[in-house]
Amino acid sequence: MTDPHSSNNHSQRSSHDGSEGSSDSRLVEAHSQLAKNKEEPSEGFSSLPIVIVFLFCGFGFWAGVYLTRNAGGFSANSFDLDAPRLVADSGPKAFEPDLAKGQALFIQQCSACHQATGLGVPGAFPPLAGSPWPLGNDERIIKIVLAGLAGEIEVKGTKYNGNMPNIGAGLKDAQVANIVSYVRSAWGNNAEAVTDVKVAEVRKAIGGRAQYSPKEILEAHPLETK
Amino acid sequence: MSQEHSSSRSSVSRIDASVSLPVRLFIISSILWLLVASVLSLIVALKLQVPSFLSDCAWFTYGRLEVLQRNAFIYGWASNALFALNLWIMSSLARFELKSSWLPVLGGLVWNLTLTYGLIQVLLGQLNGFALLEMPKEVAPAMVVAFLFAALWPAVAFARRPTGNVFVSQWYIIGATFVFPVITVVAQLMLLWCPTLGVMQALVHSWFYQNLILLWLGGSALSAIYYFIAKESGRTISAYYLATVGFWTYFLFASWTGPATLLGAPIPVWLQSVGVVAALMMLVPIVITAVNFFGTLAPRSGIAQSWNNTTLRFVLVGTVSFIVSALLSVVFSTRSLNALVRFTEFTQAQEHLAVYSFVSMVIFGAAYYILPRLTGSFWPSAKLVHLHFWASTLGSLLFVVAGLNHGWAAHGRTDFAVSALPGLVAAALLFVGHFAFALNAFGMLTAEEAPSSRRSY
Amino acid sequence: MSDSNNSRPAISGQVASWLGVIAFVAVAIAVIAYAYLAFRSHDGVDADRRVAQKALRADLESKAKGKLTDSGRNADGTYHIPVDAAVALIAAKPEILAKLRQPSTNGGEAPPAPVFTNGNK
Ligand code: HEC
Repeated sequence: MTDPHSSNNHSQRSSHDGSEGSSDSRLVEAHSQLAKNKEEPSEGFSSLPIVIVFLFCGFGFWAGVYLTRNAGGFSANSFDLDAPRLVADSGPKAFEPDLAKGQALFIQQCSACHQATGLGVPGAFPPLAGSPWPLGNDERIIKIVLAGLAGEIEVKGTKYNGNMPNIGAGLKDAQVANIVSYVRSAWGNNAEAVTDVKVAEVRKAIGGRAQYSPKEILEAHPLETK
Repeated sequence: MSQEHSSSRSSVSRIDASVSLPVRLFIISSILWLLVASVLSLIVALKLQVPSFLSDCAWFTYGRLEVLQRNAFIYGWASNALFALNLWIMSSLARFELKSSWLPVLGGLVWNLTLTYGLIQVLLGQLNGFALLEMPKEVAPAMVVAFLFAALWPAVAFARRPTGNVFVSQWYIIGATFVFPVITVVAQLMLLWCPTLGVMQALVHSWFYQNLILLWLGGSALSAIYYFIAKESGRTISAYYLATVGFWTYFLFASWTGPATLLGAPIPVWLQSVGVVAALMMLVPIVITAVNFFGTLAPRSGIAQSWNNTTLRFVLVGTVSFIVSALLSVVFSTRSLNALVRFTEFTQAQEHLAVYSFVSMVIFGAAYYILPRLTGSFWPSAKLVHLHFWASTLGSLLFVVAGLNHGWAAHGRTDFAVSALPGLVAAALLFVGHFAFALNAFGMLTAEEAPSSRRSY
Repeated sequence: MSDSNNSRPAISGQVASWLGVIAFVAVAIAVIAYAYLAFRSHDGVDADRRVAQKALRADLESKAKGKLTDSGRNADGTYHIPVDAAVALIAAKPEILAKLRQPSTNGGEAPPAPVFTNGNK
């Protein structure tokens, strides 16, 4: 392997001025001639250009298709192909219970009986603060608010035999959800919030029915705690 | 080799003599930077294997040394060497005798001094967060001015060429020469002087980075490949008329591939897709260059012949690496595959393939051709040339394989262990190769001043 | 090629071409830079938003300070602050202790303590 290198070294010594200087101009000239005539050397590759042209057309076609499919409508707001809906007007937003609204509605709709403190009026209106009824399974309180409750119940050791009207029937799903979420989180109550979807489901399931009796609702949703 | 042997050794052509001073300056400084970069990459690789090595002093922390190494390699070694290469090739092709060689020499001096200043600042901890723009922002204007002095002479030679005939190498050189100052100034403006907002910065940076590597480094190296293949094989480039298409598509598409490196980033998805399309369309220039090169060399056992020719052997490795690296970046810019390897060493390996195995190997090959003609003397040792070739080739192969392996091992997992040892061995191999190269080159450059000490073969 | 012994012009042809090339590059850069800066001035919206945000923050801050002035002020012009804050303050600057005075009920004539007094009083 050293041989070729040393011979190479010798040939590399050939100067630029005479032979090589002209060889550089010859190189340029020969190639510009080639570029003008578009001649193919006889050996090999003569059928190549057609194939190449087709190949390149294929690339161009693919590029067009790819761009139309994956460009997200050339919108400056589309950042991810997999989640194109995340951006811009993406339909109804997910419901977020608004406790402030819930409180306001509670004052309007419920505090006349249960009081703003949630403590109720002993003997007449049962308390919501510390009561097991609003907590646990959220369908129980949703049903009470939507359809009302009448009959004898016991809350925190006191007996009540009252009549709660179907207040929720006149409210929107989101409003009911806000109130219920508020009741479930106020005065030391601690249960998860409720969504409007859930309220709509329950409303659909019970239809326009009459007030619940305590027995019926406790059978469907027994109290989790005493 | 089809060229006739000439017997007189002192015959350095007038053209070569006219560019000799700047070309020498560029080559010498590039080799010095190469040595610096090799030592640094050895240290960096060692740190990956033994993290506690030299880690007590803030100056020698991984973050700074790695930055130093890249910048020294790209701006010190590759850019300096390409100044020399472009000037030499262009003046040969355009029959250009440089009259005022002090201008490029001045430019070269300023370039290297500012680079030194910038790298010292980096060492002291003054870094920007953009790869290859890490040096403090006052460095860039000085480097651009230095570039105008040092590297615009190929364009001058082209403008003053005696005949209208043009060879494809000349296009590539002109393109690369104009790309560098423009992208540097624009990127500096948009990233450091009056920064754009948010992800625009990432976008601008990816554009700058891809242009720097593919167009400035890659374009210059492609010009050298075309030149030496035609010149050393003594044949005309096959399917030459495609080369025009290759040139234009290369410059068009390469400059758009930036966003393809940002797949999955929060930039508008159409930009990412355009990047992917540009990356795929890079197949056009790749196919064309492949047809040009191998169409020229393959017939009449040209490959075997070029294997026996020092320059062509390096150029051949460079060409193959160019094609492989371009193909890899095509394949891995598809979204699904890219998701596997992004943020892994895979990208390092790809970059190494482009910057080292492609560009640097071509530069080595060119240096083996140019230096004897510049100095009128021989390469002192053929053994060192062999050592250089094998160390560099195997080293870079190992480096790339190690990086790719790491990329595959890392994808989608957090609990993987890949040894950093192959990288260390690769860095050591490269260091040995570069040392051999430097020894040879400096032996040659000094031998000429003291003719009696010249060794002959 | 060799312009041998003619009288040399002030700027040689090569240098002239070189300056031409530089001018070309400069024009290219200037065009891009101008385009960028012109485009940029459009999103003055953003600068406006930043200014507005700053103003809002200053406003809120002054309001918060106002609150402190009203509800946190004692009759003698000093302030009372939460115990935690006072402890933290003392921990950070023990010398304050020396300047502290008891919330005086008897002597209104004592000079106001420097630390907790209102600056503009
Ligand atoms: C007209 C007065 C009245 C209003 C208004 C009213 N309630 Fe009631 N509520 C009652 C009475 C009376 C009972 C006890 C029913 C029984 O004894 O069967 C009751 C029982 C309840 C219970 C179950 C027992 C308990 O204390 O936990 C819940 C829960 C409840 N109400 C929630 C609400 C909510 C929420 C609202 C507002 C949307 C509301 N009520 C509005 C009168 C009212």
